[in-house]
Amino acid sequence: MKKITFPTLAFLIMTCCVSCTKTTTNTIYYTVPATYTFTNVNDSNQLMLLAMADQIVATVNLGNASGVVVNAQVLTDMFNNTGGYFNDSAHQLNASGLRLADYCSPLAKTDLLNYFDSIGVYSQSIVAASYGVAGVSPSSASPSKKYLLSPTGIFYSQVIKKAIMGGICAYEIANVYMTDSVSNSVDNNTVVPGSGTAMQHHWDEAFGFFGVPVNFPTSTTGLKYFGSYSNQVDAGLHSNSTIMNAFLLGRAAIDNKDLGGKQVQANIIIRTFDQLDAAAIVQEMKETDENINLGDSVAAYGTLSESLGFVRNLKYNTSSTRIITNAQIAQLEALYDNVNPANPNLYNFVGASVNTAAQIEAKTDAIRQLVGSIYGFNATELSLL
Amino acid sequence: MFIFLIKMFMKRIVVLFFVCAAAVLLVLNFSCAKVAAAGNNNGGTKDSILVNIGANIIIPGYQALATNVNSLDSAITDFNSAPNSTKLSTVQTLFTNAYISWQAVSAYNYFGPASDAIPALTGLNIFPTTTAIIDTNISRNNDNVNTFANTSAKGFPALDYLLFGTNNTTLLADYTTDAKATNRQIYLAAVSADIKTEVNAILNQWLPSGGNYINTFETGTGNSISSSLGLLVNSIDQDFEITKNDCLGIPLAKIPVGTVSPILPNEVEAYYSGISIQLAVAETKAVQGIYLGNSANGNGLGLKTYLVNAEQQKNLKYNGGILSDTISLALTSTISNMQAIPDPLSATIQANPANADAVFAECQGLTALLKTDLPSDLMVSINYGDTDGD
Repeated sequence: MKKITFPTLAFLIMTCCVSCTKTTTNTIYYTVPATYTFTNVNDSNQLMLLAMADQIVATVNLGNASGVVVNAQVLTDMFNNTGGYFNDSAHQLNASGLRLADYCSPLAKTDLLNYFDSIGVYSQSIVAASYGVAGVSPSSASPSKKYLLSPTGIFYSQVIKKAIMGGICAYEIANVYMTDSVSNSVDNNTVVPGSGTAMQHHWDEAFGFFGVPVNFPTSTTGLKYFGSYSNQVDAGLHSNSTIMNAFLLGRAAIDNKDLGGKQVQANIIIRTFDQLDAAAIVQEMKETDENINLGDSVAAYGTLSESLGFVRNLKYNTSSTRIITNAQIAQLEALYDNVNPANPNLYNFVGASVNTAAQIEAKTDAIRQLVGSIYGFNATELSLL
Repeated sequence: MFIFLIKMFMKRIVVLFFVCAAAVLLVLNFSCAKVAAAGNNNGGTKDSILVNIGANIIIPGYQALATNVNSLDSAITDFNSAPNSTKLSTVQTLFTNAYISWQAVSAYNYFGPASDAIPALTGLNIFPTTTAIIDTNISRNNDNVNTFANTSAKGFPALDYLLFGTNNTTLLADYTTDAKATNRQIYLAAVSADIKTEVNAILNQWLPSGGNYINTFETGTGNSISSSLGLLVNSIDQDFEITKNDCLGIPLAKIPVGTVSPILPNEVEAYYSGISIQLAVAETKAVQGIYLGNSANGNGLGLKTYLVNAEQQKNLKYNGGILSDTISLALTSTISNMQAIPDPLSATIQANPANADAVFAECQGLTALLKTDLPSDLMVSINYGDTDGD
């Protein structure tokens, strides 16, 4: 269902006139398309940056085959787009002049470079993963899926992927594009053919980082990164239509010089991306429970690592409207490991030889409930996420 | 396409919505000509198809399972008190009965009480069992079957190993004269007691005298993700895929496990007791029973009823024919061909897998009907599956 927070009036049929009780000055009527098909949309840079991210993750995942070493410097170079490491068959990435590093929150950049180093070290292992020993282990339910785990059971491939989502995609959308880049002082008059005004272009670039097709959510083909996660949590959060409507309405507002309307939609996007990351944490708790029910500890370490990535993303959001406080983030991290929250030991979290499924699921539920209470997700919503 | 009219006053935005002729359907409106079904309504209106499925098929199924695991548990207690070959034979027969009746209700494992329980009821059938863990537990007299580490050392697969793991003579000695005989008896009792506890808890959750989930189920009308129809279709599809993939596909090397896929005959369900095909048939017959609404005490209102109504209302065609009939025929054919595969399946896979290979392919076709075509016509979304850590 569409969810718009400002007042709405009832449905009118097409032939009906809108009755204007009193037209003041500045009354503007404009239409909003149902798909992102505005004039002069060019988000090709963002599509290329996402393609670079895909290839970095694919390179990291080579380390999931035991004995295959992944070079941390290569990952760093790909992040900085030097050295020509990208596969250029779909896009001309290597010569594009674009660097993921330029679109990254400073906090996330520090974390990502550290994660690359970790991958470089752990991928040198030739043994199976175990408590205190990095290595590769297979999922028990799907043995063809293999996971390179850290000595504390963390699947850094997913932590990296989530850091890219939160530290690049969401950061750029919510903290850069929806703020300074579309502020009222940004030019919205000079139309550059093929990319529009500066304000329109920045809005389109933000859309490009969302990772959805232009007719989302009617189509859910090719969803990437937060587009994919919006769809996964949509039943509980209704994020698909909330975010897409805001992008559509905002771009239309910009086109029609409705700066007030633009601001309203920008605020919706900023707020919803915050909630979306939180909802994704809850979604990973459900997946972790399913893995626990299957007895698949390795897959559980995988989904716990995904949730950990989403938890760390909360810190990258610098918006003053962010719901969760720093103290609450610390509380949340402590639920993974209260002795070492910065580097949680997931083997201890699962505690396979001492904990029953009920005890493990009580821990995942504690994380679920804390996120729910902070972000205002009620019991029904939590069950649907 | 939606068209929004934006009317901007000085400070406020008022948005008017209207929908033009080719509008996208905002609300999935599911209505059935022949049965009362009025949107999603847990407030009291019951859907007669759900009543038949819930009261006449699912609850009797769980009741039969509970009865059988209770009998099995009593027989195991009796066996442990003084193990002999007669009692062993009784236990083995009752095990087979219980396992088959488990498979007759496994299609309901992915929603409702079975899925909400912790541990989830699916934990009673994690196979292949890890015999090394069972042996270690027996050696150390560790009978807490519900630690996470014992996930593949409990349930029916564990009983399968404990009751059929070797020839009867040796097995009897393991429970009488062997040094670890007492520990083994304790472990056997613990595994059985756990099955009995978990199964009875689920039955109780369904019954009106207990958790009364039957009421939730019968009033969960509509076709949303959380409707009974939505939950049921997802659940039976998920369970049938396990039959296809885990009972047949992986052992037959049809599903890659790692870079090289050898056949894995030891990984069939019920490897030790050799009743793999009986179980697969029981599961597929259960799916057929829900579809036709006629298993257990069913009166014929089933998923096919919903589908036929939708086909008639919307004049739906399927490859020039009718989907509801296609599914009926596919189920009958698959069951018939499956029954013709000789047990023990592990031997058949090694000696003469051609039939089993063909049935696997047929199961793939049936999966497509149940997971894509049926849900599409009923406007139910399938929401389980490989979320590959996006």
